[in-house]
Amino acid sequence: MVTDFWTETLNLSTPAGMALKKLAAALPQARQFEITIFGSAALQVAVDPKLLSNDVDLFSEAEDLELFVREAGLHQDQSDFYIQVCSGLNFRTSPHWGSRIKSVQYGNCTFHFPHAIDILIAKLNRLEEKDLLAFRVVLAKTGHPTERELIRELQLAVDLFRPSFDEEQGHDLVNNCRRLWPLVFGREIDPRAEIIAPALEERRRGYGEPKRDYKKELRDAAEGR
Amino acid sequence: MDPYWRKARIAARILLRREQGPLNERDRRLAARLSQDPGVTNRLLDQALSFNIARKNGHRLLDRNA
Repeated sequence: MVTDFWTETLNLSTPAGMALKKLAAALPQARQFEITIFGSAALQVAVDPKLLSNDVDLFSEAEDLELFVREAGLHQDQSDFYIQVCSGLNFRTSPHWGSRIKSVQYGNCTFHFPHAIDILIAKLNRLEEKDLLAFRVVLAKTGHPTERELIRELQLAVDLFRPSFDEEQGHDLVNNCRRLWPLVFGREIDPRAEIIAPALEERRRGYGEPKRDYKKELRDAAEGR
Repeated sequence: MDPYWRKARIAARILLRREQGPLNERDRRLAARLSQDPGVTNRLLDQALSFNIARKNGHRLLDRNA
């Protein structure tokens, strides 16, 4: 599993970083805030300042954060580069993301930046052109993720491949992996065979599922077979 | 004792006896009933078999007097 951050520093001099500092300045000083940044803005700060994004996606337990975003003049209807207050539910990525974040304290605010692998995995849900660009930029800048790393991380996040709810706008990770692989790794991939099946087998082994069908043996025993 | 665990252990003993030879009528009736019980799962049966075999071999970690 990927653990070490692929870059050394968090660059808060980027447009996204500047917006975050402006937000931090507008927060009430008597409270502590913890804010997680995701999406392309997180990659801009952690990997490549030239990776552009229109906004900074973030989420926090603070339910009144949007109020302070407005006070900072950073709401969508106030600025062409704005902060989008999201929910943690919008960050659909590996379940391991919380164990490999990098954080920076700015006044009474802690900004958490997920690992680039988790930002990229989240981008696989939609995989628009700008998301493909993010993969290319991260790979060019860091040499990661290797194909092996990405396959392993996607196995560990196998539940992301489950079908969407009827109420959802569908995400198709299987198809998006098929789209991504030739462009980034130069070959076709069979996501079911290389990602899903091995992950489910690993899960089954973990449950200790029995290899014999004892119920059938009991039925046979009942019938004298 | 958990009733499903108790049933699984009974079923496991039947399966072990089956390995020794033909079952009697009582065992066959019990096997029929237990095979239909949704609470007696393959996983529980697997654990019960291991449990019974281990105890038969003298490994009794759960005994109060052990």
